[in-house]
Amino acid sequence: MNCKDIRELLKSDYLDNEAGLRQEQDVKEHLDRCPECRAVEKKLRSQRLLFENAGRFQPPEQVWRNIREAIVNERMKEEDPVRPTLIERLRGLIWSQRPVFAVVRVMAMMIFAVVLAGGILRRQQLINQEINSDIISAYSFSSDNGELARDMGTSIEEYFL
Amino acid sequence: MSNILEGLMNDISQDILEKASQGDLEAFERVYKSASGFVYNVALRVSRNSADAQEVTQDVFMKIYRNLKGFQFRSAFRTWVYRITVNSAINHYRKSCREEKDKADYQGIIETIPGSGSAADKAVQNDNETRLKALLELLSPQHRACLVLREIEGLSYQEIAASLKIPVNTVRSRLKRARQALLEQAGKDQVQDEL
Repeated sequence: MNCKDIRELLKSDYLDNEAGLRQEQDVKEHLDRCPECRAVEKKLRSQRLLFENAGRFQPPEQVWRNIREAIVNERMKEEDPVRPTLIERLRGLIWSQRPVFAVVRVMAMMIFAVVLAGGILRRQQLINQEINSDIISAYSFSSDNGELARDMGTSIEEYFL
Repeated sequence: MSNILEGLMNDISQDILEKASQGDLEAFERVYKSASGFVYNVALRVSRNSADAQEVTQDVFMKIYRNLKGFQFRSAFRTWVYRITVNSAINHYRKSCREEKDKADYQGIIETIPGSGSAADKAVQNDNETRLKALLELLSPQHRACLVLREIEGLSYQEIAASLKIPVNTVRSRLKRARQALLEQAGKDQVQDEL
C-alpha cells in the first residue's frame, strides 16, 4: 500500500478500530518507516482529543416539563375531542393558509367581482336603453298609424301644428 | 466511548417500553431520562444552538411518544431513536439556516457546562468546546452528524449506517471527508499561527 491508501485508512477504519487484522498490520508497518504518514496520524489523534474531551450536557428541566404538558394536552384532546361543526370546517377550509386555498380564494373573489361588474353594467345598459327609447318616442312625429303624436307639447303648439 | 451508549438506553427494559407505549407517563419519563442525554447532545452538536437543541429534544420525544406502540424490540428502539434524533436535528438546522437564525450560541453552551471542577478546568473545557464547535461548523450537517455519532457518541460504522439508513461505505466516506476537512483547517490555522 502507498501513502495515499494508508492515509485513507488512517482517516477511517484504522482510527476507528474498524480495520481487519491484516489492514491494521499493514498500516503499522507503513507508519514505522514513513514520517509523513506518522505526522498525519498524530494530527488525527490530536483532533480526536477534542471530541473525547467534549462535554456531555443534560437538557434543562424545562424540556421535560414542556414534553409532559404537551402529552397531557394531547391526551385531553383525545379523550374529549371537540368535533368541529360543518360551518367551522368550511370556515377552516376557506381561511386555510395553504397556497392552493389562497389561489382558490383569489379566483373566487375575481369571479365574484366580474359577475358583480357584469350585473352593474347590464343594469346600466337597460336603464340607458329605456331612457333612449323614451326620448325617441317623445320626439317622434309619427306614431304607429302614421298620425302625429299627441303628446308633442302644449295645447297651443298642438293647435298650430 | 461506547460505554456512554451502553449506559444510555440499555437500562430501558422491554417492560418499561411496553408500559410507556400503553400511555404510562412515569414509564415514559424513565425512557426520557435514559435517552434525553444522547438526544440533547447530538442535537446540540448538529444544530449548534442550545435553544434549537431543546426544541429538537422536545420534537424527538413527542415523536417517540406518538409512535412507541410500533416498537417491540430494544435494539430497534435504540436505532430508531438515533435516526429520529439525527433527522430532526438536521431538519431543524436547515430550517434555522433558512430563517437566518443559525448563529452559533456559544454562550448558551458554556452556561450549561456542569459546575464541578476548578475555574482553570472550566476555562480549558470552554476552550475545547469553542474549538470543537468552530471545527464542526466547517462540515455539512450530514458529515457533522456522522462524525458526532462516531467520535462523541461512539457508534460503530454499522450502527451509524443503520441509524442514518445509508450504506456502511457511505459512512466511511463521510468520515474520511469530514476528517480531511478538519485536517485542512488545522493546516491553515497552523500557517496563520506561524505567520
